[in-house]
Amino acid sequence: MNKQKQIMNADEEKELVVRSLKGDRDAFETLVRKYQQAVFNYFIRLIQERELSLDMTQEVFLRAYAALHTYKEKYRFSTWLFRIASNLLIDQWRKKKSPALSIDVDPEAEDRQPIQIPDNTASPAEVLEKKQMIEKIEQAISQLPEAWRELFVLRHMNDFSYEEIAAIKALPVGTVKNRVYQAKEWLRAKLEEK
Amino acid sequence: MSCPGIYEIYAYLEEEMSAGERAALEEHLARCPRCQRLLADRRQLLAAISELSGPELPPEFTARIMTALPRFDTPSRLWFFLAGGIYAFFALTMTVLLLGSGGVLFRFCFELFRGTFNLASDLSSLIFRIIHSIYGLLKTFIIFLKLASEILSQIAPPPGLLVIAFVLVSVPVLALIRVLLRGSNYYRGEKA
Repeated sequence: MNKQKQIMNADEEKELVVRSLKGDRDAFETLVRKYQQAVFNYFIRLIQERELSLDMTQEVFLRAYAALHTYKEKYRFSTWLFRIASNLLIDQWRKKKSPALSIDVDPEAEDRQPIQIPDNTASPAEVLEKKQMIEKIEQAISQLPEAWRELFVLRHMNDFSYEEIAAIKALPVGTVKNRVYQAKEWLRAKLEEK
Repeated sequence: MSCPGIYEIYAYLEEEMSAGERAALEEHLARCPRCQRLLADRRQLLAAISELSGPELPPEFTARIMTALPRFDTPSRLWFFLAGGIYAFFALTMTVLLLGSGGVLFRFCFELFRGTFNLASDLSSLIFRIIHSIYGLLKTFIIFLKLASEILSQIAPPPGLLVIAFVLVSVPVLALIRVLLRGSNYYRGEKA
């Protein structure tokens, strides 16, 4: 995933799961190799601690291996795997009681809430060079409210579709889209601050 | 078409629109400089976001995960068979004593049986789960046995005890055999 997203046929993945269930560790290793970077990217963006992210990435695969028999073929393996990752992240955030900004909104009300078009007088593209802009985005992402950040990362770092994110987070697709759009507008506003 | 919202602009850029919606928006964009700027700006933002890349994993990370994967199968099977052996031994002992004493030692045998398994339950969580199930089963049996033995001892004492002993031994043993023979999700130890 991410920029190195590899194309693996969904049937091929399911075959690897079946082989893993029969005790073929090489098959599971193939799945690990395919998704470990994506899972790590997810955690590093959301936790921002390298060692903890590595530990949590490992934990995701250990949990996936132990629970492989519960995997249902109607989902893509990546969706199932990231659901495990997301649950682990929630546990971690609960433990840490992160002081990061949080949003507390009624999803239904949120769906109905229109996003206002901001005044477009100062485009960040006109102000910042691309590299600087990327650096600023990196910083701004770390300040995103948690609930937006996770969805934003799943969408733009892990390249999941809105439907897949909705399946991972058990949220309506409209809510996911709205939050990701709001996250982007929030980032954009941050970029405009200077 | 009036000026679209940001929602629509992002949907357009991320190809989340139907062909009809795209056409309508493109028609509007062709004659609205404000929306053109808006679109160009968000396109720039998305392009910058797509340039983001995360840190690389250490090269040995896959090996670290694979090494940490549990190899449950061989040791857990051993524990299963050990627990099964202990259970079979005590079940047989209890049956022999039960039949030999005509029921006098039944309570003693049961307490011994239960105590042993409580002890064994501390050995591992795997054994604990089995014992927990069996203990629950035995508790049910005891209630049944108390009722049945009273009834059967008045009707036909020796055959009644025999039936009870048979049920007591065979049903849990069969259940245990089923657990032992059930397929495992874990690595079976074919490879080092």
